[in-house]
Amino acid sequence: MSNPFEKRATEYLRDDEAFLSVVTPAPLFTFFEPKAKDGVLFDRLVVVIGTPGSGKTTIATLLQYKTMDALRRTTGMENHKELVQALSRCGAMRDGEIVLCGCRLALESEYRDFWELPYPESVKTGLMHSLLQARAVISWIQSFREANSHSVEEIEIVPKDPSPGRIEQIGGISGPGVYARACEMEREIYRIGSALVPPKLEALSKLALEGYSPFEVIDKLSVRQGGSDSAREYQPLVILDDAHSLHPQQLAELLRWLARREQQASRWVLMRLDSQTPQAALLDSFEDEQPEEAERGPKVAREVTTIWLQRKDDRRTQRTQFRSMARQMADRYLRLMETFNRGGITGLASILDVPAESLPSGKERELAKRVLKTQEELRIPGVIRRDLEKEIATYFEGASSEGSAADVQLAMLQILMHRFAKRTPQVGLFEAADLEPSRPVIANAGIADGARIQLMHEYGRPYYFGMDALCDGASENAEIFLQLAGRLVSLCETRIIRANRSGPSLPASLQHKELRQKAKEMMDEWRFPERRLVNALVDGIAAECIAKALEPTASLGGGPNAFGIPQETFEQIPKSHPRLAEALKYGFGYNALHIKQDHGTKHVTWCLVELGGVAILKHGLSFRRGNFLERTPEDLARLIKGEFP
Amino acid sequence: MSASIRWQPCISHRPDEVEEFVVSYFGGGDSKILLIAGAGFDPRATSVAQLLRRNCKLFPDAVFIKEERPNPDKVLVERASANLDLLKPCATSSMVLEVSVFASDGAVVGGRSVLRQLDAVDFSPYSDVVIDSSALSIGISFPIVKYVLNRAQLSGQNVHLFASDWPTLDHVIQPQLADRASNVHGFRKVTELYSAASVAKLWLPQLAPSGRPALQRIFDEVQPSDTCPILPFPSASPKLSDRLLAEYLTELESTWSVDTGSIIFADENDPLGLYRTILRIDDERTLAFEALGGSLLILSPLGSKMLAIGALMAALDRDLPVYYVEARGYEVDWKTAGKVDLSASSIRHVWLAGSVYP
Amino acid sequence: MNQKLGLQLLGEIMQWSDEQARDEFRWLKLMSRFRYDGYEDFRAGVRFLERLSVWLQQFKQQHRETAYQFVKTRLVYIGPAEMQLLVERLYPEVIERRLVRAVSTARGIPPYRVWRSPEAVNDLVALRRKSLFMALSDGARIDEFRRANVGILSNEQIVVATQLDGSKWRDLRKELRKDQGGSATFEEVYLIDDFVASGTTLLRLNEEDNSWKGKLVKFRDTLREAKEALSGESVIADAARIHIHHYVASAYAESIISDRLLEMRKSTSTADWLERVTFSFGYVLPVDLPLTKQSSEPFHDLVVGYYDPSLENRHSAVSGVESMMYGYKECGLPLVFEHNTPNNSLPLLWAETAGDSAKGAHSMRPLFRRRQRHSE
Repeated sequence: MSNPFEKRATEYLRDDEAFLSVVTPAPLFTFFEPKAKDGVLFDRLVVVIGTPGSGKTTIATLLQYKTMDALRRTTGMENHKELVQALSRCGAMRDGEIVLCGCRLALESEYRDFWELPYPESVKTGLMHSLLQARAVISWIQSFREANSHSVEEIEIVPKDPSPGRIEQIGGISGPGVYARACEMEREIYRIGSALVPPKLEALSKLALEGYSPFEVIDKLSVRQGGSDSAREYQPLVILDDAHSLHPQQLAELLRWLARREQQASRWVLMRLDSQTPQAALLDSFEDEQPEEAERGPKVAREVTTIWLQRKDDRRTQRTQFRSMARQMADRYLRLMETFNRGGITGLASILDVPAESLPSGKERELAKRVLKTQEELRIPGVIRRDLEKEIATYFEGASSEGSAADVQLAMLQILMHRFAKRTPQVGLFEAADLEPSRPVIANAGIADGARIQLMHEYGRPYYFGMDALCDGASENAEIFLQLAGRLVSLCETRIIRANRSGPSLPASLQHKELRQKAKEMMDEWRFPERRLVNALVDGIAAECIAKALEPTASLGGGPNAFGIPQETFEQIPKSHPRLAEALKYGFGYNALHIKQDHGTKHVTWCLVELGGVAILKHGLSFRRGNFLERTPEDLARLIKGEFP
Repeated sequence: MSASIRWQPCISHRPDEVEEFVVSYFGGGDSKILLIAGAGFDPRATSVAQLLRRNCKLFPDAVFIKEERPNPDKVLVERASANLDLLKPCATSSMVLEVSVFASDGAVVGGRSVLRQLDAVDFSPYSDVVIDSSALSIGISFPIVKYVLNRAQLSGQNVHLFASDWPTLDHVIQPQLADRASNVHGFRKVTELYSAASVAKLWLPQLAPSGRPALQRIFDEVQPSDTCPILPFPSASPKLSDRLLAEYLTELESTWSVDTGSIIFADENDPLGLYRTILRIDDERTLAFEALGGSLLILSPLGSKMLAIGALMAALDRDLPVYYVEARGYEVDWKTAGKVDLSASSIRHVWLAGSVYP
Repeated sequence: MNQKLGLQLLGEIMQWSDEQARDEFRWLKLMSRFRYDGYEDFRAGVRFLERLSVWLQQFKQQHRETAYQFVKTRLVYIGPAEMQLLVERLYPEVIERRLVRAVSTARGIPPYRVWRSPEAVNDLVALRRKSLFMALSDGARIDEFRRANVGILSNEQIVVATQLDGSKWRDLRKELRKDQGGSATFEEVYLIDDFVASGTTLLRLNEEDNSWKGKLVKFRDTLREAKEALSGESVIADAARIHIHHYVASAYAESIISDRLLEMRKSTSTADWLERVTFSFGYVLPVDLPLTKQSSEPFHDLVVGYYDPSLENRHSAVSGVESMMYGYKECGLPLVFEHNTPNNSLPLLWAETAGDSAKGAHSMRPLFRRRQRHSE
């Protein structure tokens, strides 16, 4: 019995219908529609940047001709309308018809390999560019043949410039001619690139080296409809995915080449961004490049559209969007599972959103005693305690969505008493009425969060439960979300199979335990480079954050989950602490850490090195963002010092 | 009808026969040997060289290959240099090739760069080229074997492949994995030509303890239409394949959706058994999928060195893609490694080409 | 009973928490699918999950976890694919290597030179044809062996039993001589069987009359009968080498069997033919696999506590150990084959007895019910 939550996301990408039934067009609306409105998606180079799992490949897949064609044919899906709308708003469809012929080429290691060939740079890049173009042409033509069973004879090229020389080098304008030329090109260059020992430069064939530039020649693809004379035209789009796999210099050459004004075909480059990688620096320099510096390539266009799939700003919106996307995805997956379908359970949230169990009465009595003891030790008069209790009650009246369990109230009271005491000098036997703290002690969401965190660590009260916690634990990554959700879903499934008396809903304590356990297992399975250093960073940051969170006054509410490093010293890390930079790169790349740059507070600009959701789950910290401990690069370096000589 | 089998017959020697063979064949002193071996931290690095040293009248000339990876652990560096000190006396003359497995941007380039260096070595004085893959990663050893076979085909040299293996040792050496899986250099890619018809891709991952992260990366890269995992049987531990089934439960049930009856067994100590099994599957699939554009088997050896040799032979014979995840580095549990008994000989020999074949 | 109910029932029997149940259900589903459901004795509707429920219920609640863990961590199940592999390996790994060695010795060349010499290869092909392959029992999978070696071995040299009638012997001789000339005889005999645990079926000393018994002794008689059937003429050469191959063997059997052969050779004046007998094994189980009297693992208590002595009989007595607590001849194997469970396996896995509450004998319930072989 297979559990769809345990499938790899890539699995769905392969089957058009399965893909379409689960795909969420939200990123298209969010990130691409505004650019489409500005008319800058198809007339110039578009660079799409995102972290791993941010949905780059999903977008690339959606914009492929064959996917859109499957969408056009399968109208029964409930998200059909939404997808068509999204694609239309982005300019890929018009009036229900496809106007864009997209193909996705993954820039796998094969292309990076060209950089290793023992030829001059111009030859190496030339070969790769020719191969890319040949494959794009092949993919465009094949997508018409496969999806809609047009014959290659029905396809024609509409050239930008009909001069015979230019047309000839791509094989003419007829479908068969262009296709044959592309195939010939592909075979020849593949042979060179994949040879066990590459041929000598002198031995390269003329074919491989001669000019081949279909991206410059092809303006539109024209397809005759079913034997009639009427033809439909499509804008060709090539999507180069995973461009970060290329050598930085190779990528620079590729971007420069694609940015050229002569290029007619629409071209998107999708890449992952690891902070502190050469690519990141490269991109900045490319964007900032001044015309006078760019003498190497003629007519380098300044107009490059850059789309950040996870924008540097506005992380709250991002989190909200992810929650909604994850919810949709989970519900779609859930419907694919027979056990749930039969049980009429269609929403994951309905199983997960339950109140936390309150502490067992014994523990609660113990807590109450502790609060009383605190009160005595801090010499807090009863009247103040009553005020603080009132303050807490008032807070919960205003925050009706939060559970106001007695144990949380007690823990909050304890925190407030500590805060009160800290702000009032120890004055001995003053009259209670005279005591007015210089600043009022107030109950707020931060205090409530702090109380819950402390209850988790000290009394084992569940903290991670409910749909939102599940989403936040995934740090906006669909793959991680599926893994965490899969764990809870399979437990629900078990309860349904066992006809559990309390129903399929998962008690908060069980969710909490399972999520933390899964998080620990996921971290144990980390096998990426420098994982020992990354583990040391994660553990070190977490330990200091926990200590802060458990301070009696909960001075940062639910506590920090990040180190803040002054932005300018952070930027020096690759130079000042190269090994740390490596660790940060991989930690970031694999969602162990998040890097939030340019985080402004009063006077200083910080770069936050935050723990990823999974690490937060494992160590028991708050998901709330923005609380951090002020640290330096040396502090980070200290954490990993023991891990390498 | 089955296609011809390149290594049928195949001259190979089991651990209990290897010494006798080396004495009988190399002991006479009429072969001039070039030894190509890994000079790494691996405790297995020296056993084949020492076997030759013990039994050859004429010590071989040697090319020792040092696989360089970024930020190596100090202990590993020390062990590697200690091994090299043991290796050098086993050769009359030797050279050390330092091979960067990764380029500065993290791309896997080891396979290409080792061949570039090997291309400069003069093979002509030698009657026998002995490749010892014990301490070489497959990203390096597979291209070397293919390259040496190609050269020997012209010269008629004898090509021998030796490997010493302690499966228990494989489990204490844990790789840190590169970002993505890649194909072994010089071997076929899953997608060669976009213009070629699509084929039914059958992936034969070799299951090994703690191999899930690697196989997951390979699965993502290969995107097979079907998966038939390879489990070790016979194995020193008869429960190993059950334990692997449990370890790979999620993959078998959901991620890869493996059909009942799609499990392949292979003797963890017998490269030829796996070789023959893969060929048999290849033959049958070729027939079955003829009308549907053909079939392609994709191999990903993991863990056992012996099974890796079987996969290599099948890949060479049938031009099959081999996918793997290069290691950025290794973590070794030296405490456990110290307990592994390396004295028992577990060296295998396969005679890949040369004067003994008709 | 659908799988859901089977799981539900198991969950109750084992009193698992939901998390445990989740993990165990997944494991059970997987193992049922890939392994245990194929056990030949299982019937539709009562497969592994159901049998396991029934089996576990014979234990007291506090013993069930131990029993379950034993199945999970110790039980060795050898399925059809594994057996097939062992069958397929027999020729290349055992037979061909022996042929190469024989030819190399005869010609005085190193084994690795055999394939290059056309004459040696001819010798090899001839010797191969002069090898006879015989099944020692139904378990020898002789059909699979035949299929695995199409084009290498002839059907006329592979037979399903050792007891053949005169006409079959004549056929074998006729076909052999058609291929190998007028006076050809079989020079190599391979006796093939699936499993050997104690070796008693193959060769044992009967203490009552101090005589040697077993399949090997019987085979000697067969040779004599064959000769008689062919009016004194040999189809199998008098000096033929006899090679006994078992696909699977216990470590005990591997270690004991040559000794026993030697013992018989020493104690019997007419047994010089034993010098031409050799053994090989496709897979030898590890020496620490059995659960023995000395084992300290928790399941040992169950083996002792849930035993029914009614299993003991004359047959078990023949082995020299009457008790069946650890299986025939106290082999103590946690071993199940897809086609059957050997009697050398722990009876708590396979035995079915009525029990006797008056005598305090437990009514044993099988997890993998064993079919008695008539030969036992």
